[in-house]
Amino acid sequence: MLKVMHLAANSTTSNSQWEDLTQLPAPNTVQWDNIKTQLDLVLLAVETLTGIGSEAMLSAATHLNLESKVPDRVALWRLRQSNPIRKGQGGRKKLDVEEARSLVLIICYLAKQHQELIRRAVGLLEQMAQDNREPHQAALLGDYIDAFCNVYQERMEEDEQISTDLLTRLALKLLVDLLFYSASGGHRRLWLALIDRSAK
Amino acid sequence: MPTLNSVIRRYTPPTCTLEILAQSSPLSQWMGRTVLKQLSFELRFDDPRIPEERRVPIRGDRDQLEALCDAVTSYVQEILQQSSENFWINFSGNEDSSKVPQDSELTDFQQPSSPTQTFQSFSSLTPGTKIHLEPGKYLTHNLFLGSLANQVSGPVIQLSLLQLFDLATALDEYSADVMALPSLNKTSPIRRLPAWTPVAAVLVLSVGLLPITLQYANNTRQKQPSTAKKTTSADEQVALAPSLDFSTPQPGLTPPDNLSSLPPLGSTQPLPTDSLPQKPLTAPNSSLPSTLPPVSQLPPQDTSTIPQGTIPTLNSSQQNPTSATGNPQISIQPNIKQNSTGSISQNEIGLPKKRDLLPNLSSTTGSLSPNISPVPSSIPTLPQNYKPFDPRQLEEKTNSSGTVASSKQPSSELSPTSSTSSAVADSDSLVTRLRGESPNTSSTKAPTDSTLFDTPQIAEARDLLKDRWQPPAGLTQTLEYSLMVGVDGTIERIFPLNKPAREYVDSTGMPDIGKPFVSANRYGKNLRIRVILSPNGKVQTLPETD
Repeated sequence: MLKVMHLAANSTTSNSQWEDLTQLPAPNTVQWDNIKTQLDLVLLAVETLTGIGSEAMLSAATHLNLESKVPDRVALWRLRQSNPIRKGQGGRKKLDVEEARSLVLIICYLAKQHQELIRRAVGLLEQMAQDNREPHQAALLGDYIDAFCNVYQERMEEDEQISTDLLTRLALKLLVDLLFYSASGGHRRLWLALIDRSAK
Repeated sequence: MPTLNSVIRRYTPPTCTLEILAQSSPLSQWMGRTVLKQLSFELRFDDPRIPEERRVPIRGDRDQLEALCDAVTSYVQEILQQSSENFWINFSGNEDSSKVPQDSELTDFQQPSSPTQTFQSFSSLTPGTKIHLEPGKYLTHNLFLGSLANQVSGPVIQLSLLQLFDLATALDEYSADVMALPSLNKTSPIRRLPAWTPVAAVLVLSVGLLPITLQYANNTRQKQPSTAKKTTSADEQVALAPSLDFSTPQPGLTPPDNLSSLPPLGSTQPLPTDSLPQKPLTAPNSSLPSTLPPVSQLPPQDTSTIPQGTIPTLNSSQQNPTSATGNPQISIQPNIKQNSTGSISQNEIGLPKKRDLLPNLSSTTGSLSPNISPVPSSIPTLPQNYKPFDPRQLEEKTNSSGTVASSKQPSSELSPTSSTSSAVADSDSLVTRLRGESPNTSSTKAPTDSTLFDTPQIAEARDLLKDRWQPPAGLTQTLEYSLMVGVDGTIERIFPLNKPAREYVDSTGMPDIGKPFVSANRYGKNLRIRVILSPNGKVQTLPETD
């Protein structure tokens, strides 16, 4: 796995990034639900930290030549709706490997675009941890945590409801993850994390 | 162009600086990415929280850098794969009893007021620790330096998340940028080069050396005293050729079966005995010495390697389609040539070993059987080229080599015993035999009409001029021109290179400037052709390289 990461860490264009991902193992069906959830949650973190909406995601898809997979808002919504813990029954519940790859590339593209902000947020988080203060006392983090929790509770199933504390931890973990996804090899990191996590 | 490139790569994410120092390998041009050897690195963490005097760089070699890469990459991946619950368990500051001792130790490190503690734990922790990372307190990560640790850095460096991220980014970029060669004098099994690269390198080297040898042969033939200086420089470069022979058998670089691409060099290289110059060695090559600089100017080895080591190369490569079609003008060649000196200097370090081996051989010659296993290890090119010989010839060969060693080191306790006088004769006869065996001695190999460098254009030019060249009556000197040929094959300029060439330019039969001459260059390049017209009607065309 490490060798694979090394080999393709240099990819810069979206095409080669796509090829990177196709060379990595694809998840098996059993763990697919986990991956769908995870992708949706990472996107949720990007959304709530940066305040971007589906417009930015769609333009990222265009920039990455992924229009065929993610052509419009409805398509994007359907992809995210594949997350099994989402509310609502009307959406499409399937996500194929290519669509998962597309979402990975879009996430990493957005993370890279907002790397400065992510970096600042992580720096603040470290500072707060060192000072033994609650993260939400820092405005940037507080806003993010609030937004994340709100949107999460708004979109996810009632029976998946978890405590604010747990949600805060989830939000901050996803923030840290986003930092690493924002690097040039981030798409590989995200994909491998999805696979490995789902295999557990 | 510098002979040895000390390449420095610098990766500078916000909180750390990674510098890569290395020599660039000639293979770089073939791999399409930078290939480095003798790589070392320097890593600095720019952390304002750490006092200035502790911000010392971490230095290490390539293996250590690879280990660091692996450690960091896998650690980052571990973090990403953790669920948020596990993640926070690791980082919350008030739990996990197992980590407490470590943590307290680490906080000690962070306090500049406790240098003695640092050094104590340094000595206690360093042995056996390999490079790895562990989660620390408050979202920090402890990088255990293992073999990279030094007195000032201590065994562990505490990294913030951002520092870890920056370190991972720098290492990622390095991995993407650099393909490192295993250093030549190591037996490290790590190889990242495809198997064909040594072959390619050898081919490039041999192709790269061809223009020199041809130029040399050409100059020799022209017997122009004015080119004597040029010849000397060619000789110096030709002297590089033997290094091919020594460098290829390096176990890390070349599978033994690739050696076959170089047989003629190998066949002569082991011979350069110091005793040769005392012999009338040059007699068989009577055409050569006329333009050779005085022997005293040349290292003794050159006199033996020039006639045999280089000219046969032409022939051997001629059978090789790759080099035959290779455009001699590609810009790679000069680089290869230059860079090869780098490998020579390395290989020369290995030479004394070889020399040490030779006396052993001569001391055991009496018992040498036809199956001489030690020979290949000491003189790697022997087995292939000496197969046609009977064991006795091998014996002579080893004897003569033994003489070399002893004559170079008269004080050596391995005295040549009785073989000294006979070895001289033996080596001479062996040389003669070798020369007889190789059909390409200089006298027969002196540039013929068609050369290895023939591109279609060169051949076309020759054919055309052969048809047209009618030596004017009274012409006694050769005419020499340098022609510039455009991409489309028309003549762009004609430079007469000597006085008669100027006088007779109209009677050469060459097309006028701007007229089509040869076919278009398939590489889209201009071409310079040297045209040599002899009074006896002979036509030579050669590609000119700058």
